Amino acid sequence: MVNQISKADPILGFTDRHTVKLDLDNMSFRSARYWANLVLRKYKLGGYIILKSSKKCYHVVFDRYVSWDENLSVVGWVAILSKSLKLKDYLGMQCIKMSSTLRVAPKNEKPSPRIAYRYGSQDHAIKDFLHYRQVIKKIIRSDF
Amino acid sequence: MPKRKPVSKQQTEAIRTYIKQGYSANKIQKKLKSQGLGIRRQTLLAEVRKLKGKKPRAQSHKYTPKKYRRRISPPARRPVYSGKHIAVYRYATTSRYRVLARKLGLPKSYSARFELYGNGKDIAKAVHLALSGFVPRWENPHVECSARAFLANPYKYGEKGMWVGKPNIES
Repeated sequence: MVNQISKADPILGFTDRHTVKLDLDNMSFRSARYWANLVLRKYKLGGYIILKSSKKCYHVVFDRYVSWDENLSVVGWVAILSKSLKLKDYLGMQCIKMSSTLRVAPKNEKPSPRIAYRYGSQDHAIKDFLHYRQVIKKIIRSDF
Repeated sequence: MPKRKPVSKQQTEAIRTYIKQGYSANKIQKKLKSQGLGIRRQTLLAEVRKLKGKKPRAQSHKYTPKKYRRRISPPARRPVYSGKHIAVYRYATTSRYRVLARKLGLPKSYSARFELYGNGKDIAKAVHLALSGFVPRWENPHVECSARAFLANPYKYGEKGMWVGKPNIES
């Protein structure tokens, strides 16, 4: 077994247990919006925001705070129905860490995720997420 | 305590007398008004409670009409720990871990993360410290702590090391 290591900057992200977050990789914007709308209606999550993290990769953050159990249930539901292996991996990582994280800072060549679409209410979890995103961006600006 | 218009000595004396006579707050207010010593209802009620030796009313903010709320002290601020963290994560390696990895045949790096909470300034300082090459220990690679505690005693949570990219493992 051979492995090489190369120095790299750590990634900064937002973590919590009560905000529903989806990491949709290898998916078009239309599909991401379709799944976000479906989840929004099924679980009555108030509103959502879609962020483009890189080409064909989107992050979705929902507005209503939920319990940790419901959070896992929502992500699991989407992972199974969308047959997205990456989302299943993301769900697995959430279960291991017992909290869910979304990247905010740049990673290698990928820039910070940009807001691509907003829908519905934005006053609760989304407001807090955007506040923390701002804090992280300020830290990045002062450091990198 | 909310700020209220001060009560004159004359008003205080009158209120004390009426309380001794067993008057209700309503009746006291009417009496004061007829004597030209009119007083706001809230101020009077606070004064009556004070003279009777009772504690100030709990949750005064909740029971104050919205238009007067700005005059009283705002409710307590949200606690710093809100369950929301800023994560600093990637693969990490240290000289101590590399020796161990060589012995046991493990990958040269391990997945590591700091989850920091606190106010913005503390988090910024803690993140800078992490970026300068401070990584969680291999024994406890997932560290969740307040940024202030981390800054006060960083060696409790991590050690000097290096953040690295995902290892390219070739079997």
